[in-house]
Amino acid sequence: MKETYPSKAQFNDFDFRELPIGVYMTSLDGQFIVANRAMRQMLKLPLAGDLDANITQFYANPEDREAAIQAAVKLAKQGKNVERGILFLRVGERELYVEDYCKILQDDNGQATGFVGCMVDITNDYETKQHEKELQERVEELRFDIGRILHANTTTLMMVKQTLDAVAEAFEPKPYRDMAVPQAEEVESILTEQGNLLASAIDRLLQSADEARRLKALPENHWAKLQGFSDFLREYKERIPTPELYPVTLRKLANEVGQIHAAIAPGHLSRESVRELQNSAWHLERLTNLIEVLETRAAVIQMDYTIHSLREFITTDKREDIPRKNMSVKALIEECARRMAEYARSLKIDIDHKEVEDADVNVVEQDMIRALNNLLHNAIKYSWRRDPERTKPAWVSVRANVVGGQVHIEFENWGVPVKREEIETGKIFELGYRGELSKDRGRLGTGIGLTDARRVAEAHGGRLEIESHPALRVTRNEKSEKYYRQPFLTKVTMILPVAGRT
Amino acid sequence: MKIKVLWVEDSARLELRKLTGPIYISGNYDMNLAEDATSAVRYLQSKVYDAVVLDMRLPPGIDDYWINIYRDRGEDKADARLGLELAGWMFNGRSANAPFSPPGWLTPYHVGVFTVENDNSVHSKLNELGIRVFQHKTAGLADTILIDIIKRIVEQGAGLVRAGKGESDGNPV
Repeated sequence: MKETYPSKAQFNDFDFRELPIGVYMTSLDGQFIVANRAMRQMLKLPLAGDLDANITQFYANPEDREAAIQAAVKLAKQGKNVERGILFLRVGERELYVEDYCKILQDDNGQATGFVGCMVDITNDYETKQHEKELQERVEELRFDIGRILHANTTTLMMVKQTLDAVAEAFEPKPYRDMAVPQAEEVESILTEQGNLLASAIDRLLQSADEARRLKALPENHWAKLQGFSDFLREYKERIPTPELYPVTLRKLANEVGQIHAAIAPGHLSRESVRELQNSAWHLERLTNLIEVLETRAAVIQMDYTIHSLREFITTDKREDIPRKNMSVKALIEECARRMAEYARSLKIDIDHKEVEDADVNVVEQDMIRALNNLLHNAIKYSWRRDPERTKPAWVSVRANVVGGQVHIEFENWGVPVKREEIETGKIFELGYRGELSKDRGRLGTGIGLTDARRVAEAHGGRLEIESHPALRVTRNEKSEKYYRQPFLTKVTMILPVAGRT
Repeated sequence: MKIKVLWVEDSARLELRKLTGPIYISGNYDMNLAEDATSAVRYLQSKVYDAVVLDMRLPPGIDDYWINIYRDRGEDKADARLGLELAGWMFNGRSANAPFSPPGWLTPYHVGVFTVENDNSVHSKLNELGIRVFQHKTAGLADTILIDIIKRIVEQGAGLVRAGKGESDGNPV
């Protein structure tokens, strides 16, 4: 009968020294009796002939050898072999991690006499795993540190915000009704009014005395400067090309007028004119400072949210599993609106959440509120005022409706666009990615809000959808410079299964 | 005559806005603001400036050339360092594969860098390009820092004119 291959005979006749792993036999004290070619290569021993080498000399820590023998003897007494012992060896300069599988050899009296076994070089794998383990430990440490630092910064921000509140409250009487950043038109109007008052005060001071008396009161360059300031104030909108820079520029001007006022030598100019100059400069400086304080306050509230949300995100999977519970969508939206109220107020943006069809969803409350908060926060952050007269506050719409066993929770805003390409490629959902246009007017962000919201939606058996298109159709030409400068209507929808209908 | 300045800076309207007040009220400067690489190129091609103050971390704007570089570098302003790329275009424009040429009037002595970046690689690249005026952005700077940088650039240019050469005078500013 013809032999079929591979055959049992082949196995019986196989020379195990040919195996591509190290095969060895040593005496109890570690002296090599036999070592195959792979073993010799591994330990850089002569590839042929008798060996005069001892395994102990390759142990990176010689004391490990004794421990290994003790462990092997103990296992032998239990009728077991050494399986997958990891040995740390050193061959020349190279450190070597090997997996060792061995059987203890005994004489006729049952005394241990040596070992027979095989070794596999796992250095690369072992080092990679060690490296991963170290990295993981480092990540944990960093996560802890970041969490702690973010917490400390949140506390500092609270202090900063409270101080800014107190400073803003000290501006009495307040020209603005609340603590919100005033609208651009409001700012322009009041700056123009106060600017004109200061310009008139400068003009009256210039006319209040003849040249000789004027020069006794102030050096000539100061008078030239005052005249220049008066001209500047009357046409500040033409002189400052960027409206956002009106307050800081006029603040600096008013401050310089204040310094010139302080240098006026007494007794040469009309007291009323000098006082009027001082008061007008003080009012303008005070007003512009108030605008700056309110804008900084809004930025601090925004930063506080960003830090809070980053901290939540970083520590999310460190928390123990929190059980899900059924919650009303309406209650979730109301909670988010409540949490975002101060931020929305600071930017004068209304949250409209009247159109909410209620349904229950089965959620991890903390995660779902964080995710919905992220979406509402984004909607507020990226809003512009939408009425052409810009008299009404901007608003964001939060809606919910139930469609075929799913609830669609929509967050819609009118303002900063999301580029079509960013949606189509899914880039907008990448962790750490911030939309190309999202930095419009220095808006802060971490690039985790949408990623986190989508992750939470998916963990709840749902999904996230986003659409963004021109709101007014100023131009439909995507290559036009104006295309992404026009307002966009952006809608982010979280779609979740209604509870009990998953 | 007013000194013509181009400030290439995407934070000029917000975080750095306090630096603009002294410029405007001094009445000595005619300043344009470019908030991205595309706008910077357009301003530079349309007007001759006495001083160009350049940030390193810039968004690309709408031009595909800058957008592509920005994308290739991970779409992050800090990694993309488009300001450095812009400086490279200014002085090596024809060899930088840019589809548009830098203006002929522009020399490294018209340019100063104002940035948070302060590492050796930035310094060595600016040195290679011959840009000598550098100011590190830190929180403790006075609100007149922009005027100081402009003055340094203008004085550097004036020094060259006095020395009657168009090349380096060997005295870094």
